[in-house]
Amino acid sequence: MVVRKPHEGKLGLLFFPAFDWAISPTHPEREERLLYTRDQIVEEGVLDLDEIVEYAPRQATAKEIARAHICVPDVAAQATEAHRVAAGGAIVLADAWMKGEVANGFAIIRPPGHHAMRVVHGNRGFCNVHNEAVMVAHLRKTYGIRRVAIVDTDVHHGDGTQDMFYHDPDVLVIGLHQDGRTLYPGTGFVDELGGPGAFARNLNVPLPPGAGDAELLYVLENLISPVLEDFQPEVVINSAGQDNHYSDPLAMMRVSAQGYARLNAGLAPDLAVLEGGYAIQSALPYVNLGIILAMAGLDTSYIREPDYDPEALQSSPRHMDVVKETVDLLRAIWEQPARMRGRFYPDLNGDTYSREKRIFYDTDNIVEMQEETVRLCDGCPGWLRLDSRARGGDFGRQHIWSISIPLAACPHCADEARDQYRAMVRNPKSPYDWIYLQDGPADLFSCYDVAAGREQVLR
Amino acid sequence: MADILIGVDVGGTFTDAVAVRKGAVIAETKVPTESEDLERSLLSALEGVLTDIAPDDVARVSFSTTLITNLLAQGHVPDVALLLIPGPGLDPASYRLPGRAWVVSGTIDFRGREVMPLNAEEVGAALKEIYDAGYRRLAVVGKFSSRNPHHEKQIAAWATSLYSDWQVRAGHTVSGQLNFPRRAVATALTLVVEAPYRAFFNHLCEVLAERGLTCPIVILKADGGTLPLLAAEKAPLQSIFSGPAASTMGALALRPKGTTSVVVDIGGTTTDLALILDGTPLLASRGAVLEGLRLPTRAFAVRSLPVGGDHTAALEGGAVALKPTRAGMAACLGGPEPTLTDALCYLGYADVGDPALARRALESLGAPDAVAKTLAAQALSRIESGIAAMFETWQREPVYRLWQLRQKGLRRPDVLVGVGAAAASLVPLLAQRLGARALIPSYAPVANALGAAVARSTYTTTVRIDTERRTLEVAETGLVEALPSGRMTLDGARKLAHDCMTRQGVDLGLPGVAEDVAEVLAEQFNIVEGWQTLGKIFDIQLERRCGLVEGWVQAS
Repeated sequence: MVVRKPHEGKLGLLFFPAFDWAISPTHPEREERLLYTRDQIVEEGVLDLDEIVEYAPRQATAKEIARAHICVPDVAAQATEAHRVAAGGAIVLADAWMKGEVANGFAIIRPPGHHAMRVVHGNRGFCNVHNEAVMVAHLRKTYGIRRVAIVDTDVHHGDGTQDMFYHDPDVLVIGLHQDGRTLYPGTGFVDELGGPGAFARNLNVPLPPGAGDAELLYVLENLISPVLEDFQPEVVINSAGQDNHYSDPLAMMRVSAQGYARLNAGLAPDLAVLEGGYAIQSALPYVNLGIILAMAGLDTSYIREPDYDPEALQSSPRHMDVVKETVDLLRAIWEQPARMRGRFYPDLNGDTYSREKRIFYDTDNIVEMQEETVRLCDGCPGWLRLDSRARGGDFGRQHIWSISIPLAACPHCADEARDQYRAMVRNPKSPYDWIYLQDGPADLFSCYDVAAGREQVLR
Repeated sequence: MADILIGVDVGGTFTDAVAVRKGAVIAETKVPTESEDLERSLLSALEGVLTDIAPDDVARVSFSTTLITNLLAQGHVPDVALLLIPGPGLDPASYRLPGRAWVVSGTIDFRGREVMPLNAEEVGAALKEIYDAGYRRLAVVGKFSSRNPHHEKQIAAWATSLYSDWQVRAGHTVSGQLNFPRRAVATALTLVVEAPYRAFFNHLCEVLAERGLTCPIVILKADGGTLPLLAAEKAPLQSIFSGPAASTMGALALRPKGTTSVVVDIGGTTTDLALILDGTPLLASRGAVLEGLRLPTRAFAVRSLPVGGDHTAALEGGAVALKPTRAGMAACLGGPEPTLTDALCYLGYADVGDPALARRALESLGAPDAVAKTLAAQALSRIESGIAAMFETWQREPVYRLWQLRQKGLRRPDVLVGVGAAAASLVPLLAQRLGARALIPSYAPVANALGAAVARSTYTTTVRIDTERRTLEVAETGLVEALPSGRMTLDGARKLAHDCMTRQGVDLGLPGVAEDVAEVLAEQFNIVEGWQTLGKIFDIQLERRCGLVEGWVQAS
């Protein structure tokens, strides 16, 4: 099954297992997570194949991270060396792909990133820095890429990805994950469709626990492929989580290495970035190998897990019916977004839209309350303003205010946002600890320390 | 007192020999290589340096030869059959192997656990088919056999009990590094070369003994270290590419300490580049490559460029161009066509041949001055971009740990060390372009033999300990043994690794050298299944790095 046109040329592989970094000694996100994957890849001789070229990572700069994130209080506090190398690895591969050195790229990196949201108060879902978002910001700034599609196949809803791009009409986010009623982070439902200015640009396919290869491939053929065909992105990114695997200890899905290989052969992503996956012995060595060979255009039929039993992993009509219903619904919304938009956002009046969010950081036990306001503009995605209050974690109570100007903002919205930032910095009665400006068009990232009365700018 | 070190390098064109005493070269010779009779070339060079030396004063003789390459060129690789136990993964038919392969079922995983046993009937049928097809040499290679050699051992035992006239080699005895296809290639090639290699050196030793030379005889390996002959015979592939290793070690001996140097060996048809970073020659990250066949052998990362003194110049669309072809000697030496050497001779850069002949040859292409300058400039920019590409490749070399990434940084060469015939003329110009210092060592013409003479022994011990399976493996020897009982700590694992290294040193004929080792790696990983910690994996790698024998005085 070939759904997108396969690539011609080499696969760029960037492998950074961070053998000397862990969240904590027994945490699933620990040193040996990719040890067996490394052993399998090296023993197979994959890195010697003419179809594959390996790259070394570099550290992402503070500015490269600030293009995607508002780190509280600053980038240094949230992005450790390991986070910077993982994000930098994704950037290295994106550069190689843009320069035409490789036909596609797979970054097997850790730590992962897809639960990290725009504002970062700490670690949630094992993530601090959103590797794909940092990579997208780099692609947009450096090469002028605008239309991006991110397909997230991690079993946990990529709520960080959703948050990052919720109001961006140029980024299509499609998430396939175990139903949020049964798994962390408890979100990712069909009705989370994108902000009023980016409606139907966020498509969630919650999968019933127990769904497997057949359901995954059904979604690919009947939703992802036709939607990508309509959207015509300049780059397709796969957030390649591997915890949909039947042996994953944290989830309840039944996807096999063969399923992952066929998904990647059909999706043919330009760039894939590893996310979760914690069956480090029974799944990861085989799933990673499957993705590598599929992306390199090689035969994957000889890959099988030691306990692979296709009979036991047969699809059941019960699961398939649920998936078909979801796909039909999303297809209808995708095809007629204008009609549906009015039903989702019935009382839009004025030139802004606001909503409130409560965000829990499971790893660091932080609770964040956020008020999000987006400027509704006919000519651009509009600025995004956040008021975020966090308690718990290393920095105690934090109350921050931020305004972000997307790269594609019109001059009017950009000036409006800059004025608001200046006014907020000058306001002597500001209740905030930190005030931020993410100025995409000017490529300036400012942070104002209210107590010290000092501004720091990443230029 | 025996304190003289002798080095002999048998190259493609010349065989060099040097004798070194107390850090100084006391004799050197150069004779043409007779590729049909390497032994004669070798003995004649040796005799050249031994004229004024008593055999009893010789402490060691080191050889670097093209023997392996010659044997493989003549050898009949198709005589070797491969029996593979690949388990799941890549399509086994996609491997590029030097011989016909049969595949049988059976699986060992990355931890060395048996996932699927061998099928005795299937193996028996395959062995019969291979034997009936006329093969008498068999390489048995399984995926992850260095983690658990059980399947390989079992098949090898069956094969030899069924057919007594078979020469069988199991993959784990050839290479314990992870990389199944490279292990398969090396196992097959070892079967091709091991008997003639042993015969060659046994005979050579007899001849040397007849002449009173009873000192230790060592072979230079591709990683720039020496190995006693007896150990080298068991793993002959290690001495492949000893030529480039010798030239790099020669440059290491002759260049100032501690610098980042590029060794530029400009010969007749190629320019070989090697990189010395802070005094350590760079190794190829995954092993040597021989004519497209990838080997697990540790070798210096030598980059060979098609730029040489014998390369001819011709007109191409009205412009002068250096072509990567050889028509014979340079015109200034009586050859048929204008060459790079002629350009260098005419410009006065090279003190070789007759400038009048060079001028006449260059005139056939245009104004000799302009032609010569164009040719020299073309050669220089090709070598320059070769050096840049080599640094870039090194930068791109993957790293898997944060500390390794920290060590990387942008670097530029401080010193260019010129070796080989045309080096003296081009290397100073090249250094000028790169803003580095040029160094043409006084013994540059015999640098290879010198490198062999003063290289010290090297070896590596890579130990993996798995406390759940209670196993200890040594990658280099293929040893897999039971772990002593008791709790294991990182320091305990280090101690076990040191013990393994000491034992390995004794087996290699290098007792006592395990004292001087560097710890490349000492890591521990928890083995967690579900939410339970079931054990630990320790990876320890110890290395006796390449270097120079004690007493050799480097320039400062």
